[in-house]
Amino acid sequence: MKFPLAVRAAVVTAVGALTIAACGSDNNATSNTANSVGCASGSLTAQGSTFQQNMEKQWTSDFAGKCSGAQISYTGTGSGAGIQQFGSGTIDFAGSDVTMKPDEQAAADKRCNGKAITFPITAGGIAIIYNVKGISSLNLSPKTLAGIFQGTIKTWDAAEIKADNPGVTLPPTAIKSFHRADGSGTTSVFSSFEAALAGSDWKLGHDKTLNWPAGQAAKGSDGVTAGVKQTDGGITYAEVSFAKQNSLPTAKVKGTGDFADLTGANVSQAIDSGFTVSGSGNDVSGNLDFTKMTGYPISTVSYAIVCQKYSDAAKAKLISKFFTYVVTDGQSAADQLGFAPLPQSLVDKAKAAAGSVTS
Amino acid sequence: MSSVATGTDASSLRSASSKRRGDATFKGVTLAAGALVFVVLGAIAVFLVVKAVPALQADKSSFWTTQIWDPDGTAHFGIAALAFGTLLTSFLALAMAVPVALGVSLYVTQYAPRRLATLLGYATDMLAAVPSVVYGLWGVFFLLPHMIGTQVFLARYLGWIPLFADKNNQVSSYSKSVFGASVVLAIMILPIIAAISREIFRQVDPAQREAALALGATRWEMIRTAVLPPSWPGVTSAVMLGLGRALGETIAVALVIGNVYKIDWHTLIPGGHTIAANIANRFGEAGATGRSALIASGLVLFVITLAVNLVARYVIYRAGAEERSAL
Repeated sequence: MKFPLAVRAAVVTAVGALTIAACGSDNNATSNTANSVGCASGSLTAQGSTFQQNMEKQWTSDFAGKCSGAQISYTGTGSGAGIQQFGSGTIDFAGSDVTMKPDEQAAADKRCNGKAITFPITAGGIAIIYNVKGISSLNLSPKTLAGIFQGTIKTWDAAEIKADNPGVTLPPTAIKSFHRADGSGTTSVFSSFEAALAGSDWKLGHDKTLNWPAGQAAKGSDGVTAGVKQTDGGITYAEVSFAKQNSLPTAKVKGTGDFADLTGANVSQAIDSGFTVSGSGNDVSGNLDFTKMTGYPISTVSYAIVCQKYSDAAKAKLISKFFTYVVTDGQSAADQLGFAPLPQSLVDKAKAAAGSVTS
Repeated sequence: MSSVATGTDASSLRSASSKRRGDATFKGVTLAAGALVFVVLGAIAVFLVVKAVPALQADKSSFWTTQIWDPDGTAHFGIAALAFGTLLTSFLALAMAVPVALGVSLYVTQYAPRRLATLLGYATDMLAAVPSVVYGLWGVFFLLPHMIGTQVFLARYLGWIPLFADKNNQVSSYSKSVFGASVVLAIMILPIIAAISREIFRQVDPAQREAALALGATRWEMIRTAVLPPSWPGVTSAVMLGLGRALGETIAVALVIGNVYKIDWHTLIPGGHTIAANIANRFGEAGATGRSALIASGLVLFVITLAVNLVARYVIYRAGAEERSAL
């Protein structure tokens, strides 16, 4: 909903880049499918995940540019709201950071008069964004992060942080952690990562909201990042695009491998190694196993939820074509926006799922 | 439409029967408008109760005393911290806004030259036209970072009052606090209180003011004896309206306050939460129980607001029939 200037500029650049890519470049593995994507027209409304919102804006505007008469509007209202609206039939598809619970799946199936299917459309890492005077590179292990966000590690020169960063002189500044006040898939992914890798050191479980024993809460990723920006000693977790907008550094995080930077390649690698499909048939929903992730370990996928069949043939065609575009050519837009392309294994499955939507 | 037609008939024909018909129609329209208020209020109450019941049944701890909000996970949640924060921020906001608002309206009506008075009146009213989300964003990105000095000052010199005490040296940095939220709220309710009390002060009979001055009263004595006493029921109702706005303010508070589910009198350190802000923050990702629980909290807010309004009515009623009719 909010669209800061920096992102808008990035979008414009990315649109330009894509147009050029569509014209000639073919060194991208997925661009040889460009001709097969095809067009459809009509209008769709969608809601859901705020995490994938910037990608959706990019995709919908690119697709509208490619296919005249295709009008798709996506509003970031939150995954929960998106799933609920989809189930009650007020929107055509939903974006979600999580798979549906059994009762939500039942409501969605009922709305679809058949099956509602879920498949991943983009991947992204959750950045650990910090603001400590004089420190531009920082390593943090899951146990150290657990101590920081639960308030048991109180200063930046604590022994645990020093152990993660040998040879770095850290200031005695107090740690001020910021977390999300609103329910968020970002919190869910971060806490799932902690629960999987920090063991008994992480006591808050994993959910979209937690009962935080320490730190300040702010609304939205922009809210927590603003807090960190204003606070020497501040730290939070948010999408990497917010770190870029505020020119704040992000930490290298250790999973089962070594400390890794948040880059598109590292996130794709993490998804490739840590994501297992659990859905059957055209349902490509799956589970993330953070303990198996190599690359950047706080990585996740974001899904689209659509009906297998739509009674409106034009709508079915548009959804099928749009998402085929999204999971193939659309993936190249990910890097500029702070997301990561899906690994090829998932692109194939998601493409098959998108192509299977019929009337 | 029919009432308009009847009105034209009445003015052209002057017949007694159509005049009566006009009367009856008008009475019917006003009655319908009056009844609609009750219908809407009743419908809201019924909606809130019906939707809130499932959550209240699912709640595993006491809804009234629990200071946790986890309806979708462990099913432990309660209104205690939220109701406390709602009342604390609202009354702090009143404490800041009322003196300023009354000062503005007294100056405008009693001291300022006509032109300046008009200008000042417009300026205060303009404050009411700013959308609340703008106040919230301003609070987060401008006010809070610039309020650190004030926080330190208050903690140092007024720290003996528990409200302004520091805890674990937290006042010297960016702090999403009850105090910050109260300042934003104070600015938001200022124009409501100022605009209404300005009109109240204007209603004071000029003869009384002149009589006081003629008896040798100074300007301040005149205000104290001739302007304030007959105005106070009206001013009370202005303050209550402001309070109602503060209690229900949603997005500005959601952005500025610390979102901590804990009863804590320290207003300067990060913390605090209100019912409306909690609804704004948690609704998007809430599950079925979560939504129902938020509606239950909305019901509590509805009751608090209703109680505040009733108290205000009672105060005005007590103050006498004469002033009541002036309202």
